[in-house]
Amino acid sequence: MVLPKEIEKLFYTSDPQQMILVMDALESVTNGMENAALLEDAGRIPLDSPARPFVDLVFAIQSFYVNDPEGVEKYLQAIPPNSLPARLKPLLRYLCFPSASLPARGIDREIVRAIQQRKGELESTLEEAEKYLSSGQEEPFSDSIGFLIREIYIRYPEWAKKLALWALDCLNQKGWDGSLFKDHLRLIFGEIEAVRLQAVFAIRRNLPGSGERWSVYLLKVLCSGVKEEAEVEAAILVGLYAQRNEKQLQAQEEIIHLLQKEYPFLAQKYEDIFNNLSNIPAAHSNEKTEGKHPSGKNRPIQLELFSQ
Amino acid sequence: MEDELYSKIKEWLNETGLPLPLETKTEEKLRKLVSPEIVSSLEPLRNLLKPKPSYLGPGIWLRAMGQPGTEGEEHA
Repeated sequence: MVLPKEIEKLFYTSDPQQMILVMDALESVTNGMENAALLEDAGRIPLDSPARPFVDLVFAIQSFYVNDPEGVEKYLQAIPPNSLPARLKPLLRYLCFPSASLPARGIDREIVRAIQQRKGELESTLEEAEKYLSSGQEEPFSDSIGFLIREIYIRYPEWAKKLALWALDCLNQKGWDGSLFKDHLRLIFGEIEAVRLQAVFAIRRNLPGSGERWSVYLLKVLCSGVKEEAEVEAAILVGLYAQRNEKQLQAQEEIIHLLQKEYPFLAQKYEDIFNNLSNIPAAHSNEKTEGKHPSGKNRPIQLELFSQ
Repeated sequence: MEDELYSKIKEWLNETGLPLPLETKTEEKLRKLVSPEIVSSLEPLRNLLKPKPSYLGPGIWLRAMGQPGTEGEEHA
């Protein structure tokens, strides 16, 4: 490792062991081979040591690589302005905070260029989808989001589902048909899960037909006959909630029939409740109705999106 | 933070007076069944999708420390 003269001097004017330790720590965080024991030892260097600003720089760089901008700022604040590591403050701030200005030094720009790889394919796909959304192009929007969901499903299954609901929300707000996107959901998640996601979205937005959509989900679950009793019961409870203002459940007879066949205990427990749904106290009138505009008028809703 | 829809369903069940005490297992399933929430921002996803920054080794960082700063920047 070739050291700049100003840093080399510190090996003679301060504790050389401490300087060796911080240089090793710097090497470990900048080459992606972090050594936890080494970093712990470096962290013990006293605050008044001339090597200490280098320790804070090491931890600032480490925070940068784990995408922790607050951590970067905390360590940068600890670096005295007249120290050599302070020369890297503008660069690290620029790398972490989009609002920071690009440092003027050529060496900083060289690091920026080397460190920032070109955008990833998935990041670009998301940007493209957002462009299609703002320019009103439903098909490419649906295809891009469908592609993205498929690509992230294995690594980030929860985010795949969040993205699906976000896209359903976008389609609904635009008043788009959504059938192409619904096909994508079915191919990615399978029929039952695709129906559940659409029903959850409809219930969350309090859309007309949300209870009916949940009954479709419940029927599919019952027909599959592979769910645990607790899961079927939970699905029944969501169905009751979604249809709390109705006189009876959608497809009630079929649901009771399938329960008797596959889950007799649940049939016995819920049959009377289904038959007396109208006697259950109605929901509070102050409940938020997200399916309506603040004006009180119904939002433009494409029911086809939530149809079978 | 508790899921809003999950809380609403539990609250509604309590209000109805239905004889439906939720067992822990059913509660867990219920929570999962109504997930996920509708996100208002995709920023956390965007951060996940960003490629990791390249590791450059210590040389260039040391070189950057060895060069004086320019006017207007914080430097030694």
